[in-house]
Amino acid sequence: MKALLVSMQREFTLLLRNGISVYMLLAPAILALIFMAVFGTLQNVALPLVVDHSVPAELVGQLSSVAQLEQVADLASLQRRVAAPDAVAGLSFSDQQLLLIVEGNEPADFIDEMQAFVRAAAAAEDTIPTYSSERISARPPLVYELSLVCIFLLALFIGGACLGLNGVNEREHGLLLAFAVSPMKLATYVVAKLIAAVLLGALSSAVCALIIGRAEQALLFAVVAACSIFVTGMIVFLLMGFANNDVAAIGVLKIIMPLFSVVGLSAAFVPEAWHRLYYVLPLYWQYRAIAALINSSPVGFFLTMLFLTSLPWFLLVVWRFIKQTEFRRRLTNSI
Amino acid sequence: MIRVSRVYHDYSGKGQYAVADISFTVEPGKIFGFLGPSGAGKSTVQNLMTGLLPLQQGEIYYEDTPVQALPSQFFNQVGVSFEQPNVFPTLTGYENLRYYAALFALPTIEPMRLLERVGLRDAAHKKAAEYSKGMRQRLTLARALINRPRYLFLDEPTSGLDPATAAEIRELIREQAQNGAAIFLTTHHMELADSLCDTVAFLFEGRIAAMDTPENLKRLYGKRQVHVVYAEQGEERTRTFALEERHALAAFLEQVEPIKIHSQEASLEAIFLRVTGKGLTL
Repeated sequence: MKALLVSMQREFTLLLRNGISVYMLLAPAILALIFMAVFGTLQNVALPLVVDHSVPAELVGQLSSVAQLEQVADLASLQRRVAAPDAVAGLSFSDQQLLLIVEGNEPADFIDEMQAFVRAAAAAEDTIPTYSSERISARPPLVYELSLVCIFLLALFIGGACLGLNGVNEREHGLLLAFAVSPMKLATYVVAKLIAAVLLGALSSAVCALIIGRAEQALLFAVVAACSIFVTGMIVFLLMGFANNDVAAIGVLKIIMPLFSVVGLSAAFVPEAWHRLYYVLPLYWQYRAIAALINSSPVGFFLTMLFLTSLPWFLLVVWRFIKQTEFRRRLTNSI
Repeated sequence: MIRVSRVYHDYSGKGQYAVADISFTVEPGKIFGFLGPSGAGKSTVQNLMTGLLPLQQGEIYYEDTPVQALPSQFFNQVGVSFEQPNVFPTLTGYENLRYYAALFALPTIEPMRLLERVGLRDAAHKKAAEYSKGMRQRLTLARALINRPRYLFLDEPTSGLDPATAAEIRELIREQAQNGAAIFLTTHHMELADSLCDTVAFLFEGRIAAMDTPENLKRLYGKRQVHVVYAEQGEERTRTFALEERHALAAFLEQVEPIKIHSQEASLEAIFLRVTGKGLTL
């Protein structure tokens, strides 16, 4: 137990002293911020409308409750604003009448709808009537969902990649030999890496959840990270098995990073009937679990499948790693 | 005690043995030197003994336990220093030792005390990446000693060290033997072997060419000589006699005015050359 704890502590110390790992750890959070900058704007729904100072203040107040209002000084400014490339209608008030100004290239019923909208707003007395809403789509747009899935996949991947880079460094400096002639068992070495990688993945996922405004799901995303323990382990030991220095590690990352992102995601573009082909792939279940979380659907089944399908793959990768590196007979005997 | 008996190892699997018919014993409290040029198979034997390579043929026993059956706890009693200093470059010297010490179930030596012994106290809190090769070598040695090993494997322990530090390290190794450790030392530095080892084996092309105490090897294979430095026509000259040529030496000394006379034992290097027909710097 002591060996496990000090090994985990060592992993975090090494990680924080490796510039590449530190930058990699920040990547998912930065991506989440970019996501919010892009989708945060797209997700806001409001009716744009420009008014000039002739419109009575009372009406402006009523309209601002339901529309995104922009105010200009006079009619000429209003006309220039309406003529601008974005689709926005203008509203002026003259001779006790509201004047709706449009560019002229709008759909036929646009003017009628806009007039009805303004009339409704003007007719409301103190408050705008309450209304109920209905989602016309059961799921968010595919691009939104896939972008979010990518961010969380990246967060989980980075945990494994950082620990894998630590391992490559150990391999490069011959430290595996020193471990092999110490009382530490191979299992301790592997478990220390797995737990550290999962903790990083969980932390990274939770931070991303907080950034994208899903604080209430942060813990669930951490659970996904925990159930991805063997997928994360595959990343760690694939890197260590195939790269014996930092440069080779970057090369291996370039191959496995798209692989680990695309394999699961590709199911989104494949007919449901073909999904059976994916059932043996843990990356598919990882994608399904994250997508289900994003859509606030139950995730239990997907997490169970993720855990179960990833174990044999992980053992295969560790076996390959043992064959590939100096971790020879003694340590494998003493698992 | 470590007992190695008729060990062979073939990397290729085609009958091309890297080491063949290797047999020796390392006693507690003794230093066994394994000497040979690079590529002779020294590291292969060490790796077989520490279990880093699977034993294909022959026997290696630690007391009554074969190397294949050693449990991981056994390595609480083993210390290994590799030829290439393998330490965590981004950890300090102190952190390297503290981490390694924590892997052992038995009480270990306080890292700072050990760093002081190997002359690294002032650099204890510097990252190992900033150490010179000699400093890393000393750190690797300190790591091998941290658990007070009963079985100590040292691969070129003084390589890259200045003479003063090398002397300090030799003293440290001698202390380990005095404390009862069985020490297996591989090197191609004959002076180190001569000054430290109780028994030496010459490894050449994968086989043991000769094995005995350094004194016996010198007696068996060496020519003890006497050098006479004398003056002739205002110049200093030297003449060498084999110790057996004592009459010729006596006659010569009566003819010349000797400036100094000194005896010289054959070096292990010369003996290695004589036994194998080749030098150590192959």
